[in-house]
Amino acid sequence: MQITVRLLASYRQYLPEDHDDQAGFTYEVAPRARVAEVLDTLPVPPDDPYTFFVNGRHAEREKMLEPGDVLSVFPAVGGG
Amino acid sequence: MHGWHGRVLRIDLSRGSIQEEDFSEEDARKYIGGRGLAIKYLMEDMDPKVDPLSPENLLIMATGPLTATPAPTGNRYMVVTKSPLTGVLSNSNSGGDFPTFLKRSGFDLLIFEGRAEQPVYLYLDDGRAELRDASHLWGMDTHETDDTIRAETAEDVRIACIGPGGENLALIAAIINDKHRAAARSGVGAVMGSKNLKAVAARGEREPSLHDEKAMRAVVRESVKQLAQDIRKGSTMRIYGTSYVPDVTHEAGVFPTYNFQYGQFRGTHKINGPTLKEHFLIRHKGCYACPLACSRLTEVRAEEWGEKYAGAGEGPEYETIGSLGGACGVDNMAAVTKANYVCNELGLDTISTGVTIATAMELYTKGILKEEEIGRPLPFGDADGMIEMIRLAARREGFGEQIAAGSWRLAQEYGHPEISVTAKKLEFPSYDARGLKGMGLLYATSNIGASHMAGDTAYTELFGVGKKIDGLTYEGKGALVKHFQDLFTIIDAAGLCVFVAIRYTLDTEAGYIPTRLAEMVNQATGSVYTPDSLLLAAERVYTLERLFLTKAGITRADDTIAPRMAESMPSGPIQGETFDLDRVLDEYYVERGWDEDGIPTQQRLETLGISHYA
Repeated sequence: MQITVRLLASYRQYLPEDHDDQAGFTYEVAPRARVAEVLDTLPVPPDDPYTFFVNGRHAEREKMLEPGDVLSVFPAVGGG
Repeated sequence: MHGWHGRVLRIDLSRGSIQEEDFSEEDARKYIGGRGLAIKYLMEDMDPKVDPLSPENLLIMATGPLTATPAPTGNRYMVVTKSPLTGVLSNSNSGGDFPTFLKRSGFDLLIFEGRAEQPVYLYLDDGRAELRDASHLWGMDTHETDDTIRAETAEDVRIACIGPGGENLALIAAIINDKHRAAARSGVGAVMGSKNLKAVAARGEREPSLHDEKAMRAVVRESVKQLAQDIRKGSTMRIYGTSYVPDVTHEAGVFPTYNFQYGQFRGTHKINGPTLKEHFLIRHKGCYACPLACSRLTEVRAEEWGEKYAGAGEGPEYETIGSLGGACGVDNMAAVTKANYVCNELGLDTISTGVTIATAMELYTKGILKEEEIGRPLPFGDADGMIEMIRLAARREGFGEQIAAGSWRLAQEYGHPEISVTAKKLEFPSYDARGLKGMGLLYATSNIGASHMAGDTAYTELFGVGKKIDGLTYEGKGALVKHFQDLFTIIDAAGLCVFVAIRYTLDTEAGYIPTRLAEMVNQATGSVYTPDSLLLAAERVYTLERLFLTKAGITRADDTIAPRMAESMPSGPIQGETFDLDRVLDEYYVERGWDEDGIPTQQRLETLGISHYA
């Protein structure tokens, strides 16, 4: 099944220069894939404290994804 | 005394006299310092019902026990006074160099009262204090003022001053220090202007002594090790500072768009961190001795962006991007950056200025406000109109008179209070409360009105630093908001920067416990705070501030939030969401030990040792 992945803030440096940040990229994952399984495959430094949203909202790592979900990942830095 | 100097300077501007006095170590420990000691003086020496722009209002500049110590980002100060914009308390916070220099001049707190007959500035020179004529500075912008005072005093002074905004009593006027940093919120610049006080310039070498410097340096080394994660090449801090945030708030659907009518802006990607870095960034810049250096020196080059946007300075930070960008529907980063520079030069709060102009834009778009009244069309997205309004507001010329009064008065004036996105008349920062219920409760109950700096629960509800809490749920938000308000009170009172203190002095995983923060305050001052007793001291300060509001006439009826938050979010990931204050307000009062009308109970005041102020 397909989901959309967006890497935000400094994580966009792991994507090609011409990547469309706003659209993100389409990602083919196994049906009923869990968030944690997908996160493990993304180019995010494993020791970095990061935050992820599923459809703009905090979710459990064990949450099962559905087709069309948007998974976004960014460093857990804080606000301004 | 360690950490604190134990010295207060009282400046009676009407008489032109300056007096020094000491404060006791007992009081220092009871109220921590900074914002805490300031509210004690305000309660004892001033009637909370005074007219904020009258000579009777006190203006307090306060450093904390960690200001000018080796504690990372121990370089903040607070401006505490009664706000002319909101009618409640101001406690406005700023970093840069000035706070450290103020503390090193030998004083913890400056208390200004009265009104000078002619413009003056205060010169603090290593333990000495002098009021100087400022007639020649009146009318100058903040940059000219800074340069002129430096030229006539010493190269190593640092300056906090007002620009035309404060001089002209614009209710959204800020106090600018080090040219680019602002104690911005709720009109503190206008209070300074009402006193004919143009600036404070400080220098000195009086670092506070430390109770246990060796232990403190060891803890600092630990913190800096953790900070290294953020400082390394390629980190978000290193690349973007807070300008990375629009992408996150957009993703969550809480980015202020067209005066908070929407939570996602079509132009977010044009006014975000990558755009700033690619076109405008010169280099990173830190506040005094800060290893993080999250600020950015920027330049808008005339040859690339046109003469009208050309300039150089610091910023914009996230809040400025949200308010002058998304809220006004402006997707031109050169214009947002220029608007930031103009606000700093003229001495205006970028948040209140942006959201007030956004209010005018909505009134105009809905046909309530006519072109003839504004003197030009002012649709959303009109960058040049926005910059013109900023210039007019600082001088209160033309329609600038309405902008200078802030969003709440503007919307009232034109008969549409529902359009003003404020709480206690203070304009929202750039987080829509419909997606972050904790922020909504924070805005409604804060002692200063809608400010993220009063207890930013977005750290957990949005950014997911440490323990993550869902922004859309109401459960437990009363306790959460109380905890964050108290935490931020400690950080403010101690003299640290929230941005850094949250992550390096708190145990965020365990629920934001101020373990290392308590250690640092103890090492500086010789106190014996535990995380719990430090939180209790903060609750004492917070409740005393609320008592100030109570005495100014504030009750439950004033703990409200912009009507827009009851409107369903029309689109985006939080489509359909509202914020319903009634679902959380009672729980919050119970957590605080206040009665159902929002008044602190005698019992709680006694527990906190402040019942004599009731």
